[in-house]
Amino acid sequence: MKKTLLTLALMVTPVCAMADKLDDLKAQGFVRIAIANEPPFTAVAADGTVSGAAPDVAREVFKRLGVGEVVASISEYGAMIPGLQAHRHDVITAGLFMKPERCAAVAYSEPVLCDAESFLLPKGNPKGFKSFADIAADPTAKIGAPGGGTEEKLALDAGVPRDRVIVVPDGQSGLKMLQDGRIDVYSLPILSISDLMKKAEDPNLEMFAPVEGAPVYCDGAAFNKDDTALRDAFDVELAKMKESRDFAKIIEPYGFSAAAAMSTSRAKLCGE
Amino acid sequence: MEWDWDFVYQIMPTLLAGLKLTLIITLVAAILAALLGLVFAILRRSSNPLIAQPIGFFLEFIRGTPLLVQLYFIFYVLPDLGIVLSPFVAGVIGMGLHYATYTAEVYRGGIENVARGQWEAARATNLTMRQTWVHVIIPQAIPPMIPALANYLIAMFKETPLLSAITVLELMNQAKSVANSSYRYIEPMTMVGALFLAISLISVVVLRFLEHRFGRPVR
Amino acid sequence: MTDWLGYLSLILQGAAVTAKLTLMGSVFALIMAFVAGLGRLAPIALLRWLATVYIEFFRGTSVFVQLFWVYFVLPFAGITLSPLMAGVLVLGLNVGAYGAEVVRGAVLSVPKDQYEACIAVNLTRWQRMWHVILPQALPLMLPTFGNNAIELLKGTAVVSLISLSDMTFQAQVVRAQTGSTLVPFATILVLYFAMSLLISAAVRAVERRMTRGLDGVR
Repeated sequence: MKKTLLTLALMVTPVCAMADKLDDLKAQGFVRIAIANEPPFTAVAADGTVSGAAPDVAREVFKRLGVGEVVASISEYGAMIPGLQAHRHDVITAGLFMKPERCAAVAYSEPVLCDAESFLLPKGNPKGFKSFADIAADPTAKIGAPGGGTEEKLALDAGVPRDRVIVVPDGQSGLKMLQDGRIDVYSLPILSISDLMKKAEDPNLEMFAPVEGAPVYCDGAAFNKDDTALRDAFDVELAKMKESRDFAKIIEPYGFSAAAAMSTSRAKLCGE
Repeated sequence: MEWDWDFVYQIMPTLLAGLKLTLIITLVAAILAALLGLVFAILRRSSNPLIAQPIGFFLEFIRGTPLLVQLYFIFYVLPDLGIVLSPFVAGVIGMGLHYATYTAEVYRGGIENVARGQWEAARATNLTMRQTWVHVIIPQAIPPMIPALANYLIAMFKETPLLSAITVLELMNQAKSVANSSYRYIEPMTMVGALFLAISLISVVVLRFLEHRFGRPVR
Repeated sequence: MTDWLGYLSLILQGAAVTAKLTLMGSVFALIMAFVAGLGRLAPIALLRWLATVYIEFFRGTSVFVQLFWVYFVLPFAGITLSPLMAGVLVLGLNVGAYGAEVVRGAVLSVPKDQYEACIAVNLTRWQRMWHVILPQALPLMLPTFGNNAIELLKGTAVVSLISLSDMTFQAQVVRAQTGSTLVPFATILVLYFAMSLLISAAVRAVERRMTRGLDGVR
């Protein structure tokens, strides 16, 4: 009994003052990142290794900062920011796109991955959806989107009622629900939908992109608001990588454009 | 992060809408579990081993595997066989089937508790098998089982958050969707917990009454 | 070419996490069951009251909700548990609450004359519990404890939702990588079933051992 209590007590890691977070990370040798398992943004291979453009960039930046390893935990989009606030992870690297309300909740780095929104649809786009407003206008249309993701928000903002925005836990479920006719359209960034279509090899599906009226979004590594010093250190290394083309070498094989990320800034995307 | 009462008031209507669906789905699934469990219990007692044994294995299997995985299976795998169920129906069937294997146990106990003499008397008076079940055995077996069955009703109520994994917009899922747009988990999660506790405590009072009224639960 | 062997090993890694959770959770649940079960029979009103509150609270709220709460809300109070510890804590406390009622029921079912005999031979309260009552009550608890352990095993699937890489979680990962839904889910259903059969067999073996010395008592 005593032993269990002791073990329990030992597992309780106190939330320490985050004054010098980077030194803490260096000392422990790893940084905890939140990912989503949504290729090509984030991916987990058969042997459990984490890849994808966002974690790869983060891994390289942290290596240059002297933190050797990243430890990833897969999370729903909706749970990422609460998890960050609860110190469940140190940084989100998951294609969590910058938007003013998110910028208010977390401390973003400079842009990393940019992509436009797309729709996954049955072949021929029978309902002719080209924008989120089209979906709102069709009273029978159901759209699938990740819970807490950008697409969910875009659909709701376009006026699609809550009960027609189906919260889909992961890409594979979304694809399956579309194939099974449970939803009429599934929305994710272009590269994510392309990846899903490549795996599915289903001739009855097609992609519509870019979605009209939805801008190109960029994500950044998202830090806790208390960790702006760490974020600034991250930004310095990220800028160096962008200049030396190392950045492009990491993200372009995944299909992302380095030029797109470099042509914009956090200040613009956050509407500061 | 501080507790924010204004935020609580703001999200309550959404949560209550989720609670309503949670209660509806619990009731429908419970009715299914009660009926299906009786069928299983009777089939399990069949003198034909080709019926009794596969049913026995099936019940063991369902009881030995997690409801969450069964729900995934019903929702995502069955469509490959051409069976596409709405999230609500998939949830009702998943929960109903899972708990039917428990209610079947309760019925088995209840049926075995009906005195042997009753079966013999039914046979002596030339009742058919169907008449024996409907008019003699079931009416005697059911009342003592009511508290145990009610126990599983409460258990089912508490399992409904799992349905959020197959996109049912029940209480937990509503709380998550609130959290998704507000980035706050403290108030939604705490309120969900409080609502569950409130309903469960009321149910416990009702359960005590049932136990008092119909006797000790059958184990 | 799908690397099924690689994916199978991923699922087996998850199975190891599930087994670990089940084992640690069961040990914790057992401790809680005895603490709370005996607490409800304690001569001190405060202890009885605490045990009752604990039991009703954990039987009254959903495991899933508790898990989310411990994982996302408790850190704001300065308590950050690892996902594994959060899982063990919540599952153990829950199943322990059910187990407590089993302990209480079994202790109460030991015939009254046993208590009277203990008083007659001047045993202390502890001696009475430890040497006379519990050895007789334990075999009565075992079958239900076995069922509770299976409930706990099944409960572990829920931790996949707080990103602990158990078997269900790994099945989801495999699904995302391969696009196949049937294979990973069918595989883990069989594995869960095998584990629950293992638990029943183990409990039956312990039961045989324990009842050996008790022949003729009842």
